[in-house]
Amino acid sequence: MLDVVDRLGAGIATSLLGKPILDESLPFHCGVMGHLGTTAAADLLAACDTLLIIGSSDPWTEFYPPVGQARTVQIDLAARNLGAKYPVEVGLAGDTAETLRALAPMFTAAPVPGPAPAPGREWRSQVEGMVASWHDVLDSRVHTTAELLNPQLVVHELSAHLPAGTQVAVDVGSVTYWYARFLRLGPDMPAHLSSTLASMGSAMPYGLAAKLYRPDRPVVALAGDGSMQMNGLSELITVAARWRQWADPRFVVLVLHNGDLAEVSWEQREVEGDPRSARSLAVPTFPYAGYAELLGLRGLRIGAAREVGPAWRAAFASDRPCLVEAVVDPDVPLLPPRQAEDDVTQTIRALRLEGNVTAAVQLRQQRRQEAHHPAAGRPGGP
Amino acid sequence: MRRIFGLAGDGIDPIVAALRRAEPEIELVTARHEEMAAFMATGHAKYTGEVGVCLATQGPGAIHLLTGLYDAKLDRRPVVAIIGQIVSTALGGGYQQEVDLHTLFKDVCGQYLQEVTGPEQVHLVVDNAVRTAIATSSPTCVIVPHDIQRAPAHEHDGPAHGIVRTSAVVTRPRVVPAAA
Repeated sequence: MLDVVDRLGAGIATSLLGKPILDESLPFHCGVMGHLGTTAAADLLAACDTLLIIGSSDPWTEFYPPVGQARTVQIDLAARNLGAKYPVEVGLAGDTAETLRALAPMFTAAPVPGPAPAPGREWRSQVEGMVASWHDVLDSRVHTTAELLNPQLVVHELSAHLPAGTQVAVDVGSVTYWYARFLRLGPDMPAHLSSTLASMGSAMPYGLAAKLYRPDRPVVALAGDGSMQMNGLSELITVAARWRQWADPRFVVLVLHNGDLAEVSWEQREVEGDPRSARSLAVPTFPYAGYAELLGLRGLRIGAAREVGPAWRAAFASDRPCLVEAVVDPDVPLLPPRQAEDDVTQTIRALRLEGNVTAAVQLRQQRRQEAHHPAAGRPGGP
Repeated sequence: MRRIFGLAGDGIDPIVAALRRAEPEIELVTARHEEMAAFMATGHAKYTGEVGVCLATQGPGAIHLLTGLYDAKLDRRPVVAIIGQIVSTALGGGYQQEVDLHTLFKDVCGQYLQEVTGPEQVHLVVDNAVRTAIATSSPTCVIVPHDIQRAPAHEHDGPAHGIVRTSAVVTRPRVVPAAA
């Protein structure tokens, strides 16, 4: 895949399921695309003149290039998926690796950068600009401070603490956004979640399946308080019943405790323009860390930025499974990248109806961070 | 297969007993709720690249599997669900815990859904359920009524009229696009 990307001088964006496949630290890797994705991936798709879709059926159709802008080729093992999400000019039914191997020699090798950069290189440098801009946005997002702990920071900081070979299991909700945008996976770190069904409650059972498959490797399960109350708390009993049999007992559970079904709250504001239905979306408070201790596991409760690093260190140094309960801010917006101003205005109006000033302030702040790095690249560019 | 994710129930007592006799070659990993067992099976398929297997009892246990199986269907992963059913002599009688499992699983396990009606049929149904799950990257389902679970295993000797012999052979094709 990387060989083809290099030959084309292309940039990369992935679906949510595709996130673990390529190293996101590559300077031309724009990250995950879609509503929960990065500005770089949005910019890349908005500006590209050619699109090669490899094994992806990404559902965020509004994030694909405008129809007619990009000549599109799709590779998929299943012929029925070709052209099924986006109009493509050529569909190639085949195994990804086999097909790319057959295609690669047909692309001329990328020219060596010289005094007069070749057109392909010019695009690549635009792509690298998009990635650099996103990294700046990312940096300001994770370091935004409010009264309550920033969940983006908690997930971002985890990247630096993941032991080699960690298996990652992710849930569905606001935590999915933070995973998609801010967790940097190392090599050989499989990560899975309920992606297309997008069912709450995938982190704990996936984490258990991963652990039973490779008990010698650490597991980290990323969940929200809603999912934990739906079923995660019960499956923590399964962890407690089994961990003594594991060669590596590290099974780290992150619970983002914000007392809110936050993704639903933000959708309610953004899509419907309605104020959050406070009574319907509240998640009752629960002592997650205390409960873990009750089960004979380790439990850590944090609520301040300075506690995040030490908590991750302690969790991965623990001699038994450890639950990190991070009491975090429900008012951090799940702003989709490069959203139309009208949609942002609708969200702001909903927040005004709630009287939710802190969320509105953060939303405007996120917009300013993006505006500081306007989308680069020209549609149908060089 | 070395691991099955599930939850015991009296509707699958004979299968659970068979799994005990099969220890340690096959381990029944119990979840606290069948939905979690189905998610574990899907997770197993995702992390390992193998087929995931889950087991649930008749009625409510079977119903609980659905969400986890849809997870496998929508993310295109091979999972086999083995579920119990009330004794076949009472089917259609409005019996305790009787649920129309065919209708319930027909969408999610549309690629292969079969109820076993006699011990002679077990091999072929299990073989086909596993092979189809792998070949179509989707969930499939085997329904086993209680009386069939209790019947002695049938050892086939040779092909015969009305007897379909199968084998646990699975291979994947090499798929390359046709040359332009």
